[in-house]
Amino acid sequence: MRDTDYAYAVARIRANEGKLLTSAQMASLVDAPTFSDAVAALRDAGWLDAAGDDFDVSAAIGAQYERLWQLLSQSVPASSELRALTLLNDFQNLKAALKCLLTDSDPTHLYVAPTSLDTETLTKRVQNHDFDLLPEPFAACARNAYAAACRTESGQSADVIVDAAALQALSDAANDTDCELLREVFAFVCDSTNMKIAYRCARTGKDISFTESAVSACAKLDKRLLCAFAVQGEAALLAHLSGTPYAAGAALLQKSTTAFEKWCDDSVTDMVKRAKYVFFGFEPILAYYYAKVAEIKSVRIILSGKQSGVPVETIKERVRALYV
Amino acid sequence: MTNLGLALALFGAAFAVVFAGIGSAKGVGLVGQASAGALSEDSSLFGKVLILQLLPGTQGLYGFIIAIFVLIRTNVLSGTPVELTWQQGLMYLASCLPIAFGGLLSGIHQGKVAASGVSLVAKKPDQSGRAITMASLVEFYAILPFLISFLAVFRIG
Repeated sequence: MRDTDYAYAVARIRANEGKLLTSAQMASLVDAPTFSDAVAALRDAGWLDAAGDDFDVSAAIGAQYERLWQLLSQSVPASSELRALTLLNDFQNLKAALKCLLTDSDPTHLYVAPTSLDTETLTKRVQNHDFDLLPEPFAACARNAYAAACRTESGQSADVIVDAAALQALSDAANDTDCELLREVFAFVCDSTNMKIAYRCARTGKDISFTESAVSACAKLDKRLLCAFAVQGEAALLAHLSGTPYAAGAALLQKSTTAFEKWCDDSVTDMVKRAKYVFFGFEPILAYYYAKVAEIKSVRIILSGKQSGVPVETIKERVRALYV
Repeated sequence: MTNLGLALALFGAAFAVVFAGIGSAKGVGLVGQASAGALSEDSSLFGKVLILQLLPGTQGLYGFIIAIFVLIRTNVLSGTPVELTWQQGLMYLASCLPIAFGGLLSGIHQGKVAASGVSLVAKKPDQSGRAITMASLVEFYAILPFLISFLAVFRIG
């Protein structure tokens, strides 16, 4: 697809960029004394359509994701790049569907949005064991994950297979695209997720075979070394990571998962900022997607924090960096 | 081959109108797509984006004017075409090439600048003046070949 094919989408996205929350609006949201004040500030900023006493944070956040995906799918020409944006969510939903198949429960409340894989169809296919009717790469992944779960009688083995397949799909999407920025972002997402998985393996003392099956394809990291150091323990793994381009993230990994996840999101926002100066192609769309997702995450953190009485300073530490 | 000269001159007129027209069509089309995107979010921007969409359309007009002058100079419009030597015909053809190719390329590039301007206006409507100025600068490189073609067509004896 030519860069100029995105002219309509980019103009529409630019108009929406102007509606993203500014740093002043975000600051007033964080400083809002109560949950109701924060909701009122969001309403004033035009972020929420309506808010009453029965205001539901999850529903409002869900509506924002839905609106984001609606905007992208309506304006961006259908492409593998657009579908790639929802890959992680699609695999997350597959994991939920498989888990619920094993526990004989309803997965609907576990599904995340936005997604390219219709959740209703996914539920039906998984519950009927019609894995082959799912599109690739989900069909093979679902088959293998279900077989592993039945063999080991543990949902964890299925989760490991789905997570590894998700990262592999992300890595494949990065290799297939002409969009340089998408390649960079996906490479970072793969690496940072693998860091998190390896650290979790190190902390729980997993053996090399489990660690190697859990860690997937890396871009700037050496999978072999990552697994080898993870088996040696947390300290060895962190020492190894401190010598990689992700030293800053490694330091936060030790501090807390929340801090590490904020670092991941902020790094992606920082990466996509250069798309502000691009007027054709997929880059501005990619940048808006991540900017909006970061904004939605920040609003969720603020509202949940206000609801449960988390101190302002703690909320400030967790709020994501802004794109605008 | 008494009509070779006239045929070459008419080829020149066709080149001027077709290539400059292609440049404008591509440019205006691109800005039109971007404008539709901007207007789907804010219809009040119509006046601002319309100017940007018009800008790449001038190349086609310049090519058309040169083609008309060639037709006038060769009396094709009056129905009694003049006899032209092949050298004179070649001169008309060469005179039309600046606007043909200058119009083609400047139309496409002006379209890209104007479409970027539409994106800028969509995000910051108060920047429309700057967006129009930037797109207008490309016009200079459509006017230069137009002037050369215009002067050359009139100097052919």
